[in-house]
Amino acid sequence: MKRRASVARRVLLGAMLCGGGGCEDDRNVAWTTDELRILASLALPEHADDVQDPCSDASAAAAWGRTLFFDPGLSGDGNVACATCHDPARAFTDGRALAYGRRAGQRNTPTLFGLAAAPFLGWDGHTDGIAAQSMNALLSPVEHDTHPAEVAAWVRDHHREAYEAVYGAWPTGAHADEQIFVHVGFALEHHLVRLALPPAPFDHFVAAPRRGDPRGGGHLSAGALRGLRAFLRAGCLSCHHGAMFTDGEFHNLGLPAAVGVSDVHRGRAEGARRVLESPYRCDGPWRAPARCDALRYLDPDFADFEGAFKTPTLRNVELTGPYMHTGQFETLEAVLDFYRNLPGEARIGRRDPQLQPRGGALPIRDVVAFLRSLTSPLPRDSAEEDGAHMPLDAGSRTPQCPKKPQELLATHGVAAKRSE
Amino acid sequence: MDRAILSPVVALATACGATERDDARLDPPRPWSEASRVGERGEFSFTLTLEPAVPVLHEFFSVTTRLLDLRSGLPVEAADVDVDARMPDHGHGMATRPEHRELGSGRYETRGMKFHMPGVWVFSACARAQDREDCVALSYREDVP
Repeated sequence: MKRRASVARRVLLGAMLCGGGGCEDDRNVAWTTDELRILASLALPEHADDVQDPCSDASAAAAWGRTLFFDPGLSGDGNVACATCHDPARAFTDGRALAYGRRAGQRNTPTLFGLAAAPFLGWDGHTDGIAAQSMNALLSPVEHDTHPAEVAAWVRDHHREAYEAVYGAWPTGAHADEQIFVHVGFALEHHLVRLALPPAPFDHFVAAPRRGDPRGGGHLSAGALRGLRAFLRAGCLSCHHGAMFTDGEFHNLGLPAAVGVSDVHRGRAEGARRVLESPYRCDGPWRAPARCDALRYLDPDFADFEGAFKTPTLRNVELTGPYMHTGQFETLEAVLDFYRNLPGEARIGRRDPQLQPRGGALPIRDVVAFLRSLTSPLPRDSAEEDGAHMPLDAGSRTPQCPKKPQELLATHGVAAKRSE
Repeated sequence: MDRAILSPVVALATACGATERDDARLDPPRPWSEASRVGERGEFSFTLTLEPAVPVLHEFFSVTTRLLDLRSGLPVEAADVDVDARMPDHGHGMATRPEHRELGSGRYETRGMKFHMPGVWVFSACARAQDREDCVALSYREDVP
C-alpha cells in the first residue's frame, strides 16, 4: 500500500511540474524523472495516523513524560528542565551556540524532532535510544547534573501518583532508585516519540497536485524553487535525504574551531565507544530484550569516525541556529558559504571525501529560501498529540513498553541479585 | 579436472534469479541481487546473493555466498569466508563489523552489512579452504533512497 501511494505521488508530481515543457514561468521548469522520485522521498508522509506504539499503556506514560519534560525538579539545583535547552518555541533548541544547563556545555543543542528514526542519538551518537539519551542528559554534569537517587526522591515527593498509575506499585529494594530513574527515561521517550511535525510549505508543494493544483499551490517562491534545484544538484542529498533530510550518519566536515571550545573533539570515534559502555544501551541490563543490530555490528574503530558528527535534520532549520555541533556558524548563509568554499582542513581525522567546494552551484540566497520552506508551524506546546499532524518519527523504532517494577526487575535478573 | 568441462557446472550454479553471470561486466556499477564470478586464482566460484534483494541505504542486509570448487565441481565445505564492502573512491569501508557463519552445502552467510553512503561500493569475498585461497571483487551502486 505504501509503495502504491508513493508511486501515485510521483505521478502527481510529474503532472504538476509540467513534464516536457509548456510552463509559463521558471517556477514550473520541467524536473527530471529522478528529481521527481527524490522530491517524493523528501516529503513528510501524508497520512501517518499515529506513532506505531505497541504498548497498551503508552499514552499514560507519554502524558507523564510531557510533565517531566517541563519539570526543573529533575536537576541538581532544581532549575534545569529538559525544556530549558529544548525550547518548543525554538523547535526544541535554545538559540545558543553551546548549550547551558547546570554549566556551560561543549555542544550545540539539537532539535528533538525525528529522534525515533535515528539509531544513535547525540552529535556523536553516544546513546542508542531516546530513553538512554534522556537519562544521559539527566546524569550529565553540564546538563541536569542529577543522579538516580535524587530523581527517585523527586518523583516520590512530586509524581508518585502519576508514576504508580503508569508503572504500578512503588518499587522497593536495593535497585529501586535506578529503576525509577529508568522509568523516568522511558516516560520521556514516550512523550518525545510523539512530537508531531506539521507539514511545511515544501510538503504542501509536493502534495499540491493531489489537492487539485498542478502548479504546486504557490507554496514555494521562485527563489525557493531555484534553491531546491540547486540543493538537489549540488550533492546535498548525499547526507540530507529522506523526509527528515538527514542520513542519521556521521561525517567529518573539517569545520573551523568554535568560539569557547578549546579541545578538538573526536566526535563519533568517542561516541561509538561510549554507547557500547552505557548501562542503558539497547542490549544493556535495563532494556527489554530486543534486536540490537546497530549496536551489535557497530565498528567503533572505523577510521572515518574520527572527528565525525551526526548529520542534523534540516526540518525547521531556520529556527535551530547557531549551526553545527559547536555552533560554529550563526546563520544559514554562513553555513552555505562554508560549503561553497570548504576552507581549511580537518583538525582531526580527515574531511569526508564526498565534500567538494560547490562554489556558485550553491546560490546562497536561493538555497536559504528553500531551507526556509522546511519550517513547519510549531505545536502550541510540546503536548500536541491530536493526531491531526504527521508524526515525525515514521521510523521503525518504538519506545520500550512501560512495565510493572517486578516485571522489569525479573526481565533483567536484578531480582535475583537482590535476593542473593 | 579440465576447466572447460566445469564451465557448464558453474553456469548451472549461477543461473537462478536476477544474476550477474561470471562473464558479465559490472562496469558501470549498478545494483544487483545475485552475482557470480570465478575467483581471481581460478580455485573457487563465488555466487553472492543479497538479502533483501535491494539493500536499503543505512539499513542492514546480509550476503549469502555459495562456494564451488572449480577442481571438483563440488560445494566447498568448512571454508573460512570473509565478505566485505568498500568505497574505493572514498577510501573507506563499512562502519560495521559483519559476522560470518557457515550454513552448509557450500553456503556461507554474512550479517551486519550496511551501506552508510550512496555511491559505488565494491564487494570483496575471500575464501580459504583445503590450503587454497581465492577472492573476487564485485562492484555495486547504491542510490539515494
